[in-house]
Amino acid sequence: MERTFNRAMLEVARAARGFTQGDLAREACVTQALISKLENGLTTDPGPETVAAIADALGFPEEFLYSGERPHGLPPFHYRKRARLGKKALSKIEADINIRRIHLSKLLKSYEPPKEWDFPTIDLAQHQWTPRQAAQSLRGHWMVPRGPIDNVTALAERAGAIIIQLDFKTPLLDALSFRLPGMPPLIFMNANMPGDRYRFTLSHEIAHLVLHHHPETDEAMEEQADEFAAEFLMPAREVKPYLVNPSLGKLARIKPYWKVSIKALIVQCSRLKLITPRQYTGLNVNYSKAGFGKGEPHPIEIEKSSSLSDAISFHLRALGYSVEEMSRLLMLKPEEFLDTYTDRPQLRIVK
Amino acid sequence: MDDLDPEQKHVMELLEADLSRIYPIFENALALYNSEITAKARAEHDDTAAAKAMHCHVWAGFQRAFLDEPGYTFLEVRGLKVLNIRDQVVLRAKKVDVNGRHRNADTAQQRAFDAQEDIPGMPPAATRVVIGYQPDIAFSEVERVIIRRPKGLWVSQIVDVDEDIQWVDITPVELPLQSGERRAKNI
Repeated sequence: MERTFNRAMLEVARAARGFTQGDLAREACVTQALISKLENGLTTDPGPETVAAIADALGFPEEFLYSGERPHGLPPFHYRKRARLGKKALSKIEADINIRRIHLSKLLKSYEPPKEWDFPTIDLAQHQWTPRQAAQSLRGHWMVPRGPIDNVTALAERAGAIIIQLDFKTPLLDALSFRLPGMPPLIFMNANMPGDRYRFTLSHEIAHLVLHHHPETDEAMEEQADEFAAEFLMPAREVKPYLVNPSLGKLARIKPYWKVSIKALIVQCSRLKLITPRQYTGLNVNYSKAGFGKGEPHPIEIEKSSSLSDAISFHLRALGYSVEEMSRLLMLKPEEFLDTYTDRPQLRIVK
Repeated sequence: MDDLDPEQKHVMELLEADLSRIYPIFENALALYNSEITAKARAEHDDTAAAKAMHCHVWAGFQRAFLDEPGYTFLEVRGLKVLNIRDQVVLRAKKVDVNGRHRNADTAQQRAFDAQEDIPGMPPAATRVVIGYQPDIAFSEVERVIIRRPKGLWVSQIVDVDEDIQWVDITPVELPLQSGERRAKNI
């Protein structure tokens, strides 16, 4: 069977490794002109030896470059601090997300994640609701008990969302979420952040998935998602008694119970009009003085998602796939499969 | 060290051998408070409740360390818990602020303690000192432990230098004039 070289997947692979065209050309001992022409579709049949050299330089099996997959662009919204993200960093994140999405679509052909509830959409305009009311409604729909949510990740996964934790290698992007036809809601989370921020970010992404089906202005959507996330994690009626006459010390004691940051508690105090603008400023000044901006006390452990690991375990244990078969399925080298999807300690090459 | 207050020198020499056992009591007590008391209970604590709970853990720590130690006697005089060390020093534990001072409204007995007055049930000749711990604003760690002669006469800080627990004099050169005694001393 004749295989067709997939230039889009070459770009994905190169971005995933953080290579420029020049880097890849050097590693693969080919010219940068060839890489450029391949990616632009001006050369369509590079020949098996060249593909082998490029695949080897990229650390992917050749099948990756011949696969019929089509990478998706990322949605133009849901970014936080996008403006400050460099093109290279964004390309790498986009490539990593595409690779995981492709893996997921392959895994979901044989594995159906357990699901207790659906992941609804809510039209704020139709219901004449505020984001706060939508958050209350979702808590009710998912039968969340009163008080703090013990594990937001597990809750969203029980509603069918797939949460994938990645090292975005930048603090400038916290998360991305989207719905694709035929797939469960996907949430990609930056794994490098404090646990309390992770929970708020995840709730923020849940808000986007629930509320934002038609793009609106970025600012309006971000504001709505923040308001939703605050109410989802700290329902006003339940958190209010804890926030009366707040001091920094008091908020620090409240943090481990509600599992939100002290900063989020300060904002919630203001949002619920429990403090004056002057008190709000004062708390923020004390927050900075105490050095909490660099790291808050009483750290919250980051929640672990199980979506992908459960799917992998199912293939390995229930379906009897070998590591080699899994690697072929996911178009990875066995070493990378083991590093990415198993608990094996990661080995690094020391040059 | 030559210009040290003779009383400070005497008290600290008496305590010196035990500082390595005293110092971790505070960190352990705070760790216990933050790990064993449920997050919900701590969220419902006010500053007083948190300090009271911490005090109980501190005192239990002192008892674990010194209960059977010859020369050490735990006294409870009308609710005031103190440790009598060889009838020469009586020590009570308090949460202190960044200035080394405790902030709650003292009872008449506590004022008498600070003023080194005779209190029935306590050895009359013993120096009354406060061992104070200063937590950070979030009550997540102990920033320092001090031993202070009330009324601002002298202050020592217990420090961990490469796991060697020592004490240093941190008596400010110019303390706010709080008592005639201090004023007279400065003059």
